[in-house]
This record gives sequence, structure tokens and C-alpha cells, in this order.
Amino acid sequence: MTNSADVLVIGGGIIGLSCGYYLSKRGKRAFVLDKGGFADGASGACDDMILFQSKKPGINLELTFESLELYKSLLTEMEDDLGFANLGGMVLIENQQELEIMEEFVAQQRSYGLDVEVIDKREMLKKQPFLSDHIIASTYSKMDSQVDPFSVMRGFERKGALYGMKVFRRNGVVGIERLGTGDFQVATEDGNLYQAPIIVNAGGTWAGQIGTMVGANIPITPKRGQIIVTERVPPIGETNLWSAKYLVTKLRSDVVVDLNEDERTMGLSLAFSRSSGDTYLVGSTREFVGFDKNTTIGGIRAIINQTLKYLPKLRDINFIRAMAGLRPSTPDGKMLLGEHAGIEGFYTAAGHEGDGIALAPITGKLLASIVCQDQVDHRLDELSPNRFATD
Amino acid sequence: MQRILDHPILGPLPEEEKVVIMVDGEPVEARKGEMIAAALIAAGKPYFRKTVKRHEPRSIFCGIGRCTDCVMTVNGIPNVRTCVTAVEDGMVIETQLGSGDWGGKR
Repeated sequence: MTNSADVLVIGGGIIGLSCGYYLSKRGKRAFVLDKGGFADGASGACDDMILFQSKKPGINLELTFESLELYKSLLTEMEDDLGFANLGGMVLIENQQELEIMEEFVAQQRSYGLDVEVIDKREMLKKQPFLSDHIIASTYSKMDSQVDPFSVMRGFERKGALYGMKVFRRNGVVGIERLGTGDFQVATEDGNLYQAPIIVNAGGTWAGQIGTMVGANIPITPKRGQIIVTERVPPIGETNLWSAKYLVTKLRSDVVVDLNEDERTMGLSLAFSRSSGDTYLVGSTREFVGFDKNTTIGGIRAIINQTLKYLPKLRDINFIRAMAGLRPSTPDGKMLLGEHAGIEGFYTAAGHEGDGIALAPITGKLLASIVCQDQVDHRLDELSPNRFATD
Repeated sequence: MQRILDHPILGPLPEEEKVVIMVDGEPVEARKGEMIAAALIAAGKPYFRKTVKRHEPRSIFCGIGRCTDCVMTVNGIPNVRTCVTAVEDGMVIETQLGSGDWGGKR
């Protein structure tokens, strides 16, 4: 059986569904082909953040602002609360060195328009009374927000269907060829063929493998993030939390940061957010272990030990499950968004690493705009997949 | 509800040391070693918690520590499964509303 569409989106995670949604809203007949079930990749095994504070001034921070605005309009478009919440966030500072680096970073972010500040211990404990005494200060931004990825994906799928979007699951792509007409023909595991003049590769961690089928170089490496989920508990402080340690290691490669064994070998650092289901999502590791997305006892134990170091009170509560997702990481920490030079009609929208939830709406909207050949947005030049093209 | 003082198979209820637990501020006498839920049912407490969204009353359901329907705030810790937690003298037990609170501190 052969199916024809205007656009074939490969990958049905939050990015692929967002692309499919915004394309179909623009009048394109879009098919989304996914190798797995609903939300069983990285989009369903992640935390739920629209996080500003982790972003260096630049394109990622700029797009996060736009994505937050889009999420607010999606609340109306999708007639759903999407688990949206705006609890604000704090980055926990443990020593003088971190304080100096974070003060500088916060100043940069402020000059870029982000509402963020460093607050002293007294202010910090007012917002988060259970924090360990060794934490000397923190940042605070009321901008940091969150959504429930499952609600967002269901929303894209439900509303996209009204515009003609179709999602085909458990139907992995096994081959792509170019027909004499110039159209692409995509073969899937169940033997079906799909044709369209345009392909959008939203394969996340697997985007490189899709790229290989058409000769595109897409250097995306899986980074495993393990997260544990607590039982439903009353609020622990007012905000979500992160540790400065991770940001400092990321921001300042020139500074030697004192890391423990888990932090060094598993890329462990604290991310602590209250989900829309009143549980807490606590992470996370950042491990390079290929495509293995199992959780490990070592990872779970490391997350628990680390969490108790920051929030000793949590000794009294239970965790109910653990999950791991493969974050699609790129060499320069930026996604790939745009058409591949020399492969007309082949676009990639992938490589968001830990920002997939935050940047999903803006990614889909911009991708649709590129495919529909709106006026060129030169801000996006630095996201072009051609920066990795080999000749 | 009353305790079964003479069970047809298990026989008469043996003597046991008494402890006192505080339930929503009121002292309640319990048998040493029994589960909180048993003591509360014996004392006639109608419900143990109210649900998060609709504030419906809940008490024990499975009674074996699986379903978490009977959770209460015990000594300031929310979500304690009362059907598998033994009473202790002076224990402070509170009816839990929704997912509870941390004893006024948050």
C-alpha cells in the first residue's frame, strides 16, 4: 500500500508531533511515522521543564522565551491545562567559587532580559525551608516553568488530527529512496510505502541513523538521563531546584570543580521538579552509554544519595519508579533545524539534548515556517544542519 | 466498631499492654504492637484521609500495605501506610487532607 502526503515527519516524540502539528496547521498534509509507541522514547522519560536558568545568552535562551509564549497560546488552542505551571526555579550554590561564577552568569542573563537574581541564604530558606545547611546561597528566577510532556503530545496529536495530521506508530523507517518524480519514498517495517516531496527528520537520538539513509551527516550522540519519581507528597518548598555544580562545569571548562565519583562517572547533578501529578521528578545522570536506555541500580542510588545531600528531609519519602531517556546531544549544544544542502526536501529538526520539552513548540513552528518558505529568519543560520556537512 | 473479643477460630483476644496514641489531638488507647489502622477502626474513626481532588473520605482498602488508601500523617510525615505501621506510645497521627503537609512547614 502506498500513501501520499505533503510531508513525512520521521519520529513521533514531542518534536516530531510539534512539527506535524504546525505543518498541518499551515495546510500541509503531514504523516508522522514513529518506530515506537506513544511517548516511549526520550519525550516520555524526561523531566517537564521550560528552564531558562541553564541557558547561556544566545539562540537557546532566545528560543526558550518564544517557546514559553507559544505554550501559553497552546493552552487555549488545545483547551487543556497541559500540566502547565510556573513555580520558578532556584540554582543551589555550595561554595564561594560557584557563587562568583553564578553571579557573573546571572549578570549576563539579566542583561539579556531574563528575570533572575542571586538571593542570600535567608531568602533562599524562606522559599525552600528543607535545604541542607551547607548551601550558601541560590539564584532565583520566577520565569522557570513546566508542562506535562504527555499532555502536550496528546494535544498535538488530537488537534493535529483535526487539521489532517496522521500518526503511524510501531512503524519504524527502514529505507528512504528518491523517486524519478523527485519525491521521497519511505519504506517502513510493516511493508508500507509512503511518498512525499518533503521529509522532516525528527528522529531525536536516532536522527543520525535516518540521516545515513539519505547521505546526511548528523552527529547526534545519545546521552542517557536517569530520573526517579517520588510518591505524591505535599509541596517541598515553593520552587523547582538545580545544583550550580552542573552549570559551572558546563559554563567554565577552565575552572577545576571538585566532583565526587558519581558526578564524574555518571555526569550526575541535581534537577528537582514538582510534576503536575504532585510527585517529584528527581534526576539526573548524563551518561554516554550508547543506545542503552535501561535504568541502573547504581544510577538510582546515586540520584537518591545526591538528593539527600541537598534535601535531607526527603529521607522520609518513597520513590516509586525510575526511568531513563536518551537525550540527543550535539557537539555544540545546539539543535539542528533546517534543510540539508544538496538533499533537496530533506529537513532535520533534532538534537535538543535536555531542552526538547522546553523548545518543542518553537521548533515545530519554525520548522513549518522554513518548509513553507516564509521570509528567511537569519537567526536560525547557526542551527542549520549544514554546519556539520562533510564535503 | 468493636474489637472481636472472642473469635470463632482464633479464640479469645489475649491480654496486651496498652499504649496511647494522639489522633487529631485526642488520646486513643491502642494495643501494643497492633497496626495504626486496627487501633483507629477499633476506636470507630470513620475515615483516615480525604482525596486530593474531590476530598472524598478514605479508610483501609487492601489492608496489606499495597494500595495506599489508608495513608495518614504520622509524627509529621505524610503518606504513612497505617495498615502496616505499628502503633507506638505517644505517636501523633493526623487525618491527611490531599497529599498532606509537612506540619505547617513548607
